Amino acid sequence: MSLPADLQRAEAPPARRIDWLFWIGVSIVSVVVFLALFAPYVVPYDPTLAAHRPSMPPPALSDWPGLWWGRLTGAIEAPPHWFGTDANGFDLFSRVISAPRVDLTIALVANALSLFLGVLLGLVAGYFRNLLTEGMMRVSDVLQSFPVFISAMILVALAGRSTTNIVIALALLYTPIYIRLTRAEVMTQRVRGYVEAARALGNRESVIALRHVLPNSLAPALIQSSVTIGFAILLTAGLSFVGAGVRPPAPEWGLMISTGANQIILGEWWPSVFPGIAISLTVFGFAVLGNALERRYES
Amino acid sequence: MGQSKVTAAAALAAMALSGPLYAQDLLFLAEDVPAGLNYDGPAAAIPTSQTGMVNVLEPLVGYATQAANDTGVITPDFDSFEGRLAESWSFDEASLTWTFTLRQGVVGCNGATFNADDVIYTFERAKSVSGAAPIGWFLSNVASIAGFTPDVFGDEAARALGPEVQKIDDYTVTITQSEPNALFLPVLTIFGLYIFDKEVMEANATDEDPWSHDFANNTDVAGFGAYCVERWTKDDEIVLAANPDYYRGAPAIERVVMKRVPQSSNRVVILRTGQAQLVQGLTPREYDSLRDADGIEVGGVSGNENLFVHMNFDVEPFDNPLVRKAIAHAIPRDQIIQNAYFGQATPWEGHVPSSYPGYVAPETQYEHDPEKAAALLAEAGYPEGAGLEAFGEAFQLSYVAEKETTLGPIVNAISTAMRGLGIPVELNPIPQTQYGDRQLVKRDLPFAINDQEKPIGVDAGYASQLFFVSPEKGGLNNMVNYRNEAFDEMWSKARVESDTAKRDVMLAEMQGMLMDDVAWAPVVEYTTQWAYSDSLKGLQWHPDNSIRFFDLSFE
Repeated sequence: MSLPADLQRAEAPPARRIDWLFWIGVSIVSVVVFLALFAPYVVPYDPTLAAHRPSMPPPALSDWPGLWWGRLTGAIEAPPHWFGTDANGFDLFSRVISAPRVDLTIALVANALSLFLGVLLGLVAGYFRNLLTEGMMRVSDVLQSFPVFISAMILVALAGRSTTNIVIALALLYTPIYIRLTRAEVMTQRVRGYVEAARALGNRESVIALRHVLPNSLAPALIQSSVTIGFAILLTAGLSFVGAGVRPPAPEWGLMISTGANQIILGEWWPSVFPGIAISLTVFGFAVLGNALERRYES
Repeated sequence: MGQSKVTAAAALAAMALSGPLYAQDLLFLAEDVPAGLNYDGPAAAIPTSQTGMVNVLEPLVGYATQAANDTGVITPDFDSFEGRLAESWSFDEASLTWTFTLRQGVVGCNGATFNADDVIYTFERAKSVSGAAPIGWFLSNVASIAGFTPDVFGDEAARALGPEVQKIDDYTVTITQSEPNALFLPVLTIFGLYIFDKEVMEANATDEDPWSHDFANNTDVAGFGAYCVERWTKDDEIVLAANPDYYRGAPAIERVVMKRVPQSSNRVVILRTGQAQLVQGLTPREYDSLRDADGIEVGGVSGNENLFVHMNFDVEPFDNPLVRKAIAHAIPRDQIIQNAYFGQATPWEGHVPSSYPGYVAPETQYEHDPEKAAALLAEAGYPEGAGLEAFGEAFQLSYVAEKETTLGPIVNAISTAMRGLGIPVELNPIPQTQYGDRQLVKRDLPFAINDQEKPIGVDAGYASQLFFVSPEKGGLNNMVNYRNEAFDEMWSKARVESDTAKRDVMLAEMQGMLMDDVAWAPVVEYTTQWAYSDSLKGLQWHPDNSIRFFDLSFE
């Protein structure tokens, strides 16, 4: 006797599908993190020394194998300028792979600050609902209503052009996102049975909020982190592009694109294109990782 | 295809931005438009502001011209003056008095007729030192016009114009000097003593602002120049209409639209499309890229533009001459000429433009010599830069952020060379306005790169007075707070020396002092250039590097 076809399908073990996007995201983010940690040890040249012939184009792709071989065998003494050099005489390859140290550090620190602040305030706003926390939410709404990039420019312009001020500006601007996410999650958690049980055991409200509700409300904010880090990198680069970010000659993708943009009219595409590809890939990596994590959490 | 799309987009943008253009209009693209039209105002030092002033106002005298150079640019003959608003003049050596016969029938933009009252008003205004920058007073002082002394800053009575500038009749004025001074006529050619239209200026005065500074800073300025302000929107554009009654004949170009296009690469694109006919402020490579372009000419002169490193004498450790000398020896001049100027510059061996009368290249020179620089640093007590980290703030190398494209390769080359010696240089790009304020007014920039100082008075003595005489003794733009009593003393003698040969000897000695003291660390002199449509003719260079649109015509 055989089972009906639909029942057979229902009982078959689910096919294991590889989440390609997740693994692409993980790979890109891993490379970026690796470069942020170890770029100084792997760069062929100091990324801030203008010691090369300026505006050298990158070698043709067909020459790359020969150059690799030459380097491996020692036939070529100086490392090639894989991405060419810019108008200042910087080695672009060294600068592109050194940039995560600047961009990712700013993004990670800003995100950590905003995550900490946002989760804490979101917990308070979601768990202890009163006039004060409602007022806090309205302030958060107002902050979110301004365009992020314009607000960041204004904050950096007022505070001064430094890495610390960029971090503070980004942290301030991203905090409301975490407040809102955490508050929404806390509001669903606070009516769950385990909260009632904790209360029945005589725990104080603050203890319940911190020990029981907070750990169960963190997932959305943590998933959002991946996306926020990607956008923080983009925003950092954007600020540098308009001259409000890090100072030259720091190896930073936005600054490199900005410096190279003027050379495009002269046919020099490489100073802008390579950092442009790097930043696109990085933001894409963080975005798909966040997206994949979100899907996993929801399922 | 990509290139043509960019070009087409730029053309559309140019048309949209500039409004309607007529057959005889000129679209001139620059890095900025005038920020003010008042030469005693805060924008006086900004080159694009000077372009506005020199086209609307007119001098008493100007330089005659000579043949065009090999790039087609006409240059002045510094040995020959010609009358402008003054038709002729004479000088009485006994009384040190100049008598000017003024031109009759000169009509300004608002219909007023030029006469001696306008000259008197101009000098009264200069002596009032009522503006943000007393340029008119400074020039009169440099020319030794009697009564234009530093007393005006402390004594209100000293600000009233006395008999030193006197109206004899409607078309005759006399100007008396306090001492013989060869700079008198050269100074009258400078925009900071161009003549105002008294009638219109007074009509725009208020009780709080009797000399109409606000009007000239923000609205218009009245004079007897070839062009009149038709429309002026700061940070965007200024439209100049030809003065049909201009005394040298109506300008060939009826209307000039001077448009702000901050990115030099965008100026290149718009010029290439043919929408603009004249651009300035490109990078040397951009000029190179246009030399072979169809329908475009690139012209230029080795005039008076230069680049130097500024070290503030009032800031440690730049008060130590050994540190200054070490830094001067560390500057990679050849690398800068090749990599930043692409050969369109030459090493600068003095503190005065080499094209100026009285220039000498002193015996002391600071060639690029890292070993010598390291030895000097060690002698100063900072072997391999050890100890200099205590002066981190001082080693922030400031430069104008808006000039990143041009100055970026230079500051990076310098900072790379310095760091090789252990000098902890950090780059500090700051906005043009902030740079100008800290340089000219506060004089507190510790360490900077400067490529925008040109002594408009064509004389080594004028440059000395402007940049190197002690601030307390009238060094108006002594941005590094250089003080040398022997230098001041020598200049006080040279400025009244009527024997040119003797004066030149003293000026040479003064230039030697500047080099020995490393008053500035001179780097290069670079070519002043413009790119323009090949149908545009008559381009002339003037020492202020501002184009006079009256000189131009379309073929």
